[in-house]
Amino acid sequence: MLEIRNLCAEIDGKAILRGIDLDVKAGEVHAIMGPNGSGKSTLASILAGRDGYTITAGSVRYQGQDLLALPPEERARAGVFLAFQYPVEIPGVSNIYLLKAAVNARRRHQGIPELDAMDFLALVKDRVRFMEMDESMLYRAVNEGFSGGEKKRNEILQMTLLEPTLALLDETDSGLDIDALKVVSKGVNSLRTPERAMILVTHYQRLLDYIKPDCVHVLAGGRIVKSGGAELALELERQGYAWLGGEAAGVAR
Amino acid sequence: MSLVEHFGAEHARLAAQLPGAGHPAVDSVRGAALARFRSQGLPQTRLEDWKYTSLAGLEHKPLPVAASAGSLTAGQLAAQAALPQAVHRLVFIDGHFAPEHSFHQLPAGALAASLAARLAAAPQDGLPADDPAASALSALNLAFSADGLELEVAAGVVVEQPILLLWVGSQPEHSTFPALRVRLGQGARACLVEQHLSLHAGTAVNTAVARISLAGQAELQHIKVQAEGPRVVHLSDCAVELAAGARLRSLVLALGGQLGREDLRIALQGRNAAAELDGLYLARGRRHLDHHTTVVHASPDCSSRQDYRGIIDDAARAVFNGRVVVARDAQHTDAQQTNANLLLSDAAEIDTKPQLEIFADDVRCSHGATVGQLDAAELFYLRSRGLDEAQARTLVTFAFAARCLAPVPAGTPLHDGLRRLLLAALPGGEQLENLTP
Ligand SMILES: Nc1ncnc2c1ncn2[C@@H]1O[C@H](COP(=O)(O)OP(=O)(O)OP(=O)(O)O)[C@@H](O)[C@H]1O
Ligand SMILES: [Mg+2]
Repeated sequence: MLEIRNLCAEIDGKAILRGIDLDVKAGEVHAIMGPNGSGKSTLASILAGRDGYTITAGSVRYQGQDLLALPPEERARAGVFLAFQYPVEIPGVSNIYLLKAAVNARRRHQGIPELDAMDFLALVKDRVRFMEMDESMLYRAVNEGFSGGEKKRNEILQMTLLEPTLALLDETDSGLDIDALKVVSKGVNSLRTPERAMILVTHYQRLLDYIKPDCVHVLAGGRIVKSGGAELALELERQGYAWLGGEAAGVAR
Repeated sequence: MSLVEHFGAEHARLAAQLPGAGHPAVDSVRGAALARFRSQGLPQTRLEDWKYTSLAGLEHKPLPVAASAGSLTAGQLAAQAALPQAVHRLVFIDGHFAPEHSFHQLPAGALAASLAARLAAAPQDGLPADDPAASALSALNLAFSADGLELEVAAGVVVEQPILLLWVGSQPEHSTFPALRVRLGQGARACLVEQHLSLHAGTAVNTAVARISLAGQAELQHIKVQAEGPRVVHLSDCAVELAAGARLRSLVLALGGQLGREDLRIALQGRNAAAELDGLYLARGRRHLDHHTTVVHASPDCSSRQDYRGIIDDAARAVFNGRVVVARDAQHTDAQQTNANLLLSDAAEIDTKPQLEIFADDVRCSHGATVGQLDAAELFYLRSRGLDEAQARTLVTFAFAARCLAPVPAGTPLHDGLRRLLLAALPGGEQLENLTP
């Protein structure tokens, strides 16, 4: 589904990604771990289409197309979803408005009829209940004044409505209490099907107790320095990054 | 014929038929006002306060004074009003009271009267004297002052529902001179929503004056919407005096017109008076919008907060000048001012300037002006959810603008109505229905 080859990117002349290779197949869940500042969010942002980065080498193919050639909205409509590490507040725009606009943009792209107000409301209320959120959140401005945990939950609410083919979750577990972590994991797991794939960026093994990954990668200094199965996360939890030596240790220090 | 001569001739033509004419208490005020306009003429760009706003274009277009009201239908009003379901609605067409379109259920102690009716009934009460601190435009307004609203709310009386005041321009090629006078007694409370709109796309010059006085502990929310037609020149001077403990919440939305100038002058005269001024100017096309605020802290322990926002697009131009004066004995003044601008095109222009004149020493005064583009993080967030770029830009622009509605309680018909007007004025805004936060 996703093939990243030798992806190199810089910001303001500073190299951030220095040759990423990653293959994600339909049905798989990959976890990316790694020290602060190693480039995890940069990778997720580039996949979602944020500008401000210069791609200096490499390629990304998603379902056979050149992902980097698409503007962010087309990637979203084609099924790429990024749950932001820091969800953005949009005052004056209600959550439900954004959800409806997003769902219908995706449906138009898929060539299925847009949902009318009634059907949409029924759907969104169902997902709000599933995410154990208060309905009043729908009528508040997007993320404005939401607590850290509420913002993360709201990201997953959007995801359960958009039903992406490729979900990128950037530290969705950070800042969540135990109960919220369970709800968020439930949301993520509900989308695990053989047709979909996910990349979870996380610092903590804890999330992976709830969402079991097929592969775990360590990103350090803009490169994937180690890949393994779920057991790699346990190893990292016990030992940190130092034992990996080289860049992982250097950056983690 | 120069503009001064033109209005001299107009005055000669109309003076005898203006309400209250023939009574010295009225004639003397109009006469003195005309004399001041004659001696000063239109404000010139060599005046510091008019540096960026030229009225030279008016010299070549002497428009006759609208001596009577044109006609319109109820549907035209309902479609454009900020508050379609108003309980209290007072309509003035071309500056003249339109009783057939007006209604109210004001409580005892609250009085809304047409100036023309009052002048006809009691000319001896005269007209308020000319305010020499106001520009010569205010004098011109007074010289032709024929009608307008006089709103009085007696001490302790609370008007619960907003009062909608519509100033409707129905005929092109005219000069209009609306006048508003508001007096709130001790502890009285009211919300006044003033909206200027045009039912034509032609040229017109609307020179408005408002004089508001709030007695001790009185509270007024004053919302002014300038939604004039694309070729209308809107020139406004509003002065508000606050006694001790009085509170003003002012919101000015400049959404239309070809050229708009808003002078808002606040005098905090008694202790603990508070003024909160919010504003939004939306300049598109070749529109020119100029906002000059003056807040005078004349007494100790008063506070003022100003938050003006501007959206300037295309080849439009905007001006913000925020003047704050703190008198020598106005200790413990708390005065804040911010002015945030979105500049959406290379040809758009903004001149923003704070002007602080502080003569007391124990004060907290702050000011800040920003000029920027649309927030990239917000745009990316929306696009990453599948919204196209144009839609995302409109939403982020709306989000920036909508912050000025914060002082109006969310979920009320007034909030909804103002948001609707805002959306209608934004490029692409009509696509964004159901935005309710
Ligand atoms: N706009 C920017 N300008 C300059 N440097 C940037 C910018 N954005 C990111 N960086 C740098 O790129 C590097 C990678 O940042 P990134 O956010 O991808 O790290 P991360 O792995 O997600 O870290 P964390 O675990 O703390 O979230 C960091 O050194 C960061 O300072
Ligand atoms: Mg990160």
